[in-house]
Amino acid sequence: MTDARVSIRGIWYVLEHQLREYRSYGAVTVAQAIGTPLLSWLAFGIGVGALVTAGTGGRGVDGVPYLAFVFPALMCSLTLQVWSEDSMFGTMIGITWRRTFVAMRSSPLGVPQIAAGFVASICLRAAVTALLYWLVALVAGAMAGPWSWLSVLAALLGAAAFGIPLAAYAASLKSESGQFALVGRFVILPLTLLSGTMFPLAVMPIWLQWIGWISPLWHASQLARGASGAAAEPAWLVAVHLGYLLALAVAGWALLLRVLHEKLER
Amino acid sequence: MTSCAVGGPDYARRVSIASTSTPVIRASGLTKRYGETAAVDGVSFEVAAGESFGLLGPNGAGKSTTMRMLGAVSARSGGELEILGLDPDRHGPEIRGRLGVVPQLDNLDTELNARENLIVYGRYFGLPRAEVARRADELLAFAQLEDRAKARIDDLSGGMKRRLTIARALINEPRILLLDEPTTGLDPQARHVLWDRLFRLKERGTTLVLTTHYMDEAEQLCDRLIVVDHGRIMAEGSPAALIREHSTREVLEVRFGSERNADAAAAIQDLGERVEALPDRVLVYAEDGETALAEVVRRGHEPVTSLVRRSSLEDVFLRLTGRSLID
Repeated sequence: MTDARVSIRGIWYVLEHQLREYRSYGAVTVAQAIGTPLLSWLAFGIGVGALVTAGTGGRGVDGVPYLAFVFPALMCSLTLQVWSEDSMFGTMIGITWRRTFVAMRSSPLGVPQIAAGFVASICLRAAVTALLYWLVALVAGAMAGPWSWLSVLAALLGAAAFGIPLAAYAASLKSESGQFALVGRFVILPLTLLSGTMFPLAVMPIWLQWIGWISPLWHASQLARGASGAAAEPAWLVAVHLGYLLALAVAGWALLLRVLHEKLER
Repeated sequence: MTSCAVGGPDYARRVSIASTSTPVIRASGLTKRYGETAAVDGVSFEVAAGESFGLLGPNGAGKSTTMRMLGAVSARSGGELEILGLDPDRHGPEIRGRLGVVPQLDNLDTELNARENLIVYGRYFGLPRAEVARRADELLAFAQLEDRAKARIDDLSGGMKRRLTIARALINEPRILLLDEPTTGLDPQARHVLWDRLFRLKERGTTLVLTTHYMDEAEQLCDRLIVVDHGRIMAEGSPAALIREHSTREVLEVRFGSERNADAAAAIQDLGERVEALPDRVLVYAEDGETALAEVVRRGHEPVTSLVRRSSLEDVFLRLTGRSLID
């Protein structure tokens, strides 16, 4: 009948389904994406920013105003959080709570199409978040330069590098009995605090800096800062950031496919 | 034709069905293992086009595992399987494109309304939007849910959700409809409404394959069925033939009280072809239940309650496995 059409467009059909669901909380996504940077602007521009400016004798951090230092990283942080929430809860909804992935698997769709459509839908929502954040950052004067839009891609890559493996973890769970709250408190929050988000990684003692080195958030933040002119990373370090994030995303993707095959094709 | 030998005139009729029409499902030595455990252990059967075929067995018998293999979502561990002439291991998407699946647990999307559930599902099959919208409206009417098109899923009753799930399974106009425990958890009225819808599908020539642990459902819906237990086929045939072959025409049920049932059963052992002492009652399998009851009374065993009824598939299952269908 329409097998060829399904094999080509299957990812879009899954995305179409997810977008219908998003309609019910699209306003929340937009409000969050605009409200969070506005609050950050107030807090870090006027509050902490004033303190840092006074403390550094007007030099700011890494040679740029504090707002320009912190905004790209905060954008990466929020994007990562949005991706993580959708990864964890979306996966559990698909496999266990509403079993929508199980329903999809009864159709001609295969696991790679279901996974790709699902990840694409998360990417879309995260992209809306990052884009609106970037626009607010432009208005706030926290990002500048012709390449600052690349910081949006950096935020998405960082979020994918963390969120796709997280989806694989969520898919491996039989049930959710508090694990997602633990991930939030003991993985995402420490990453946010210790990944050079609000202060340079170098100011931390060396025995804590490794957290930043392995953190997708630090690599993404440095890329975003580089794109918006808040950091001057050498080319080799940019390659390391990109390579590390891509490697995590690809490994997470392979793991996600494997776990979904196990769960949906028992 | 099958792994289990079933005799009688009905068997000849089934052979005739199978030989005159190409089977849409052909399983031979079908096996599914999880580690050392065989959930399905070498079952063989065929289903003819337009037939209504049932898998009857208790929970854990391997029915749902078999259905997942028939649905081309779970790879077999051994044996042969052909669905619509194709091997599900190599042609999964093509096969699934021609199947309708009603799972044991509802998996409707509660974030979407009833009609949207049909539409997003139809799109998975590559149907154009206009076509899927037309079919969604038709199927809502078929499922008697036209007035609930925009209802939230959580606001539908259990019976409505099942009917909507069946409507969803029909969106791609499937050749075969797989129904896993379609009426479990529904009240009697909802079950009858659902059976009526399934009868209509059967009349239209849709091949139905269903699992159930309700013998009345199997008797109502199935032309032919296999009785499965521990992953194996215990018997195969039409409901009437199975009853004829494995049970007597009538069954006398007598209750003497839980303390006395075993002793009474021993004393009336000769009154039927077979006597089963269950914890709560004694079953006497006899051609004439009333005569058996009169003899029980004549011998001075006063039952607390008595009932003469026709044999059912429950009796067949009890005979074949020594256990009740519903634990």
